[in-house]
Amino acid sequence: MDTGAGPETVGRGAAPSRRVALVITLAVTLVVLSPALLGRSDDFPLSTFPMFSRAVAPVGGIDTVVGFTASGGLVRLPPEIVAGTDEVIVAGSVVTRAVAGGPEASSRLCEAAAGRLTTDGSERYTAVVRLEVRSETYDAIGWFQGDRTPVSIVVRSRCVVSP
Amino acid sequence: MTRVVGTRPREDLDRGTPAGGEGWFERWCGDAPAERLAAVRILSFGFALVYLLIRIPSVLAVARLESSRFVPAGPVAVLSHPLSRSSLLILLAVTVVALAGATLGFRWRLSGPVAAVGVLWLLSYRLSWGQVLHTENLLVLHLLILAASPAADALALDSRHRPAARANARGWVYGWVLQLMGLVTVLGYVVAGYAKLRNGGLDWLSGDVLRSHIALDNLRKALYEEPYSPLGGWLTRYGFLFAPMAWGAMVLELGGVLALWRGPLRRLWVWAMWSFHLAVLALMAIVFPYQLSGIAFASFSRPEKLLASGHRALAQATGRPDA
Repeated sequence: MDTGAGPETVGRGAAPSRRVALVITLAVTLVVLSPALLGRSDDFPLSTFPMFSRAVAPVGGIDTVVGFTASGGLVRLPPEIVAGTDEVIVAGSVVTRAVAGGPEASSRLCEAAAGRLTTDGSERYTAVVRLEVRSETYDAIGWFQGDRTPVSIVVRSRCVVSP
Repeated sequence: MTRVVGTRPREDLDRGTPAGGEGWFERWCGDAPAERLAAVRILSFGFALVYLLIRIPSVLAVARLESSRFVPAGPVAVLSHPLSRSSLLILLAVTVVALAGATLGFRWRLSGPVAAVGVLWLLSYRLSWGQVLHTENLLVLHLLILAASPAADALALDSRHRPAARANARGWVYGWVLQLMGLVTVLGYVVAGYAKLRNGGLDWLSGDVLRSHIALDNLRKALYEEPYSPLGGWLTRYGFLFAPMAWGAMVLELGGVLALWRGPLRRLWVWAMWSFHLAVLALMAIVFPYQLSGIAFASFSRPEKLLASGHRALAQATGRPDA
């Protein structure tokens, strides 16, 4: 578009004509709408923006990795340890995919998280001796009203944290 | 064919008034001063520079992830395996330098495209490890549009030796590029609104789906030891609040088309959309940095006025009229 036109000319070899501008405008419109119009899967930067669009019930499963101390105390782990990312949604997605991949995939994730925890060096996790990959189900609305007991917990894999 | 375009009164350009006797597209594009598009360039590329510098640890962190998790997103799909850390560092350095150049309007024809494509590539690469997020799409699309436009005709190191008449003659082009940015902004929200109706159906408008999402998203953050919104969690006990919220979100997202035309509805929509992102932050602890900064909506306004007043304030503070 920046074609270096002279001071008062707009035409061939200069700025685009209005007709070309209209065509570009229509093309951009179609490109941005195309993921939705063609039913494509989500991508970047052209997206179907599916976040928070699907119908979900307030009682839902959350896949995660948790730690335990030698005395059995539960230690919640951040996304950086769980999946090597600072994004909760990404970490959750990584765990869910590992769970869907079966026991072997869950074990691999567990070992990888244990490795990250060992190299993390944070004092907060020095007492953690083992990890569990698990699917926890909660009544999310109830949780915020004080009912923090999970509806169910399914352990997918366990692993030991090397000292 | 070469067409001579006369100069327009500065007041008309400031207001975005289209030239008379033109069709709907010309009226829709309107005219804008070169300084407006340039101000949007400075704000958008400047934002991208600061954002990328802040996100460097996050971008580099993916180099430590298991290669089995590599799921290329966007243009990164051309790669069959992850890049080395040194390649990432080089890309990062080139992009940061190009972003600085684009912000200053230095060697714009090179720095603009390199910066925009660099940001596209780096952010796509960062999202190629398990889950695509949606907080950076608009920034990338805006940078790509700006990079292909004459956004350095003013307020740029490149523009010092350029005749002022050239910028005046291109008023409709500046107006068109700004409208194109606004169009992309609006269409993103329309697609998001459509996704809610397509995936959630009319149930989404009952508010129950939104309520469940707010509760589950905050709970997930709490279980991962991340900051969550106690306000959002607390509000989920009041179910009646969520139907109006769902309707409000839907009206804003689909009603964005009203912002495609200049006027009070556009101003109202921009403020409402900014408030929407503020509400998302308050209720879900989800940050849309580009939108919350207001820069995502700069193409709808007159940001050159803001830069000019900042320049005047700087001149007064330093006692230098040329500051």
